[in-house]
Amino acid sequence: MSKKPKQTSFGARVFRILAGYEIAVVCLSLLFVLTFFGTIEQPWKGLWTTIRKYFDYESFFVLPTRADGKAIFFPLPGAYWVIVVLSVNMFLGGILRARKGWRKAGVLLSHFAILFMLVAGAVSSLYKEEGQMRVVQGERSDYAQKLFKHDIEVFRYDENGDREPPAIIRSSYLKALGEGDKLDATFEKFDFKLRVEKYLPYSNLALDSQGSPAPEGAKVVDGFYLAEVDKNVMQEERNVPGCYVTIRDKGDKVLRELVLWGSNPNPVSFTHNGARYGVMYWMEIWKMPFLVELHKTFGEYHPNTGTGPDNPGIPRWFQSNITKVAGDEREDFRIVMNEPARHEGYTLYQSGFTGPRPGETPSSTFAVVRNPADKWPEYALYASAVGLTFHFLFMLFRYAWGTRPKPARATPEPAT
Amino acid sequence: MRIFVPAAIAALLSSGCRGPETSIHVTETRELTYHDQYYPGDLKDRPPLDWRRLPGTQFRVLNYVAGENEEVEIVLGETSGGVLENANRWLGQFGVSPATSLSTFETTPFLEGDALVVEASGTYRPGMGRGEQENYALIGVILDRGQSQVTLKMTGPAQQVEAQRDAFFKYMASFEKVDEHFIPAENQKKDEDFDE
Repeated sequence: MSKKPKQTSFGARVFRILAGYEIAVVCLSLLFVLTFFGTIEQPWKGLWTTIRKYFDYESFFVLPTRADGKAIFFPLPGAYWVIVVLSVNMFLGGILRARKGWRKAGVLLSHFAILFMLVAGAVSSLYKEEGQMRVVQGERSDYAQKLFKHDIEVFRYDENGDREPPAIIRSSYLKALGEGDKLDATFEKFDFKLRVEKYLPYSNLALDSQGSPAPEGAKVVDGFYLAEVDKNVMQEERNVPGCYVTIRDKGDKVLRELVLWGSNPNPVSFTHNGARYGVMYWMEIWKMPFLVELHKTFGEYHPNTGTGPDNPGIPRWFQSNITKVAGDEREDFRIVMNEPARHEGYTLYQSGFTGPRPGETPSSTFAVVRNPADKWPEYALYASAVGLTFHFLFMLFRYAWGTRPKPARATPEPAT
Repeated sequence: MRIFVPAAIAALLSSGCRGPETSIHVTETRELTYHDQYYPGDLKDRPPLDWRRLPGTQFRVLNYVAGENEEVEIVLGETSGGVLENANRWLGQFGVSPATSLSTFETTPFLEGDALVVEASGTYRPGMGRGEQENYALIGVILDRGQSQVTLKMTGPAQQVEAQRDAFFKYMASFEKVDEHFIPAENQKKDEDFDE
């Protein structure tokens, strides 16, 4: 009498598929293809746009684009979600389903390390904060600016003409606005209201004059109007948003209409109840828990890469001599390419510098990154190296001492 | 189960299609930084309460309006071309004959030096695509900085400009140098302090 083949449950079959090598192979192949197309596309789409398109968690599907801007109909899943699937597959197949025991400890540790590295990528993608700190030689700074987030800041001037801590309308509220949408804001610390309207993500502030009048239908405030411009895909940081705001008192009486533009470093003002208020639309200001004093910045440009004094070319190397000041602690750093300064989860890389020019003091630009998973990939690499070393040494000893298990005797096929 | 799956999908889709907020209550504030002490040319000014600041332009580093219907303009700028040439350009906007010497003007302390005081009234022809204005007046100062000149200029209906005269000169005297963002002398370091 023949034995019935063992029936596997639906759940077990799903588990078998999710934990299988097939998914791992597909995911790794997709990541290769996505990286390939992303790399090809980056020179004509720009680094920021390409990273957002291929690797952002909001990208569920991607259509690669040719140099002429036409899409190639070869839909691919977004890299973020491929990595999520790969992580689940790695967890189920490489850890849950994998054979356990001290002989497999090294392999298990390596699998865990790779999974940890993937998780580090996700944590970094979701929680990493980035900004730019520009410091002029001989000066100091305690803040960075987030290039792609523009907040509206409203503040009161004190009797000395100094600004008081501003109230912040975050960029996320503004970016969500469509052309006809309005946003009404009330403030905990002020007794007036502010309405945002006609938000333009890509704009220019233009002067309405007889020589260059505003186009028909354009809203002109204080002699200025916002002109819509094309998105700069190559240099995302060059895209400047703008909007109009109306300030009203509690009784809804209009106090002032203002035009705000994200590239105007100075506030516009209005007076209310005997006090002066400033309103700014500017890159998010990110206060650092330390000060950077820039004593000297210097470097060299690659020959023949510049076009003149305004564009000296591609830096070959640069260096900044800085002192990091946190409370009473002072620490000197030489920041050079690939050698950042660190401070409690913050990392300062030098991302650019301007050398001496007529009428201009040299300056350094630092990319400031706060990433809770900053060191995780490094730890994952150490763990993976330890795991694989243990596994290979174990295999070597077993081979050398001849403790390999004997090949199992072939099991006869069940009679049918 | 049959109901649950479409309902879950619908809930997921509707959550992704939610429109923007239409009203918010702002409670978040930010700590002050050196950015809040940013002033063009590191010069902090204290305008009168009834002056209102507008966006700046290439030639209007500081741009204020004042008076009835905000017809008076007060502009701080930086220019080149010489003190006398700029003074005569301003006079020319009111059809006044050019001066031949700086000695014909009064001076007043402004920033780190003595600035030339230029005054005129009459029909104002500002140029730059702007129409002419009858019965206007100008009070302005020009400080020579060698390669460039700093100018502070108030224009508007003559009566209103006169009403703002004291405020203008008080404002001119309010400028103060801001140097908090410079490394204090005792903390400055030399290259050799960073040698390995």
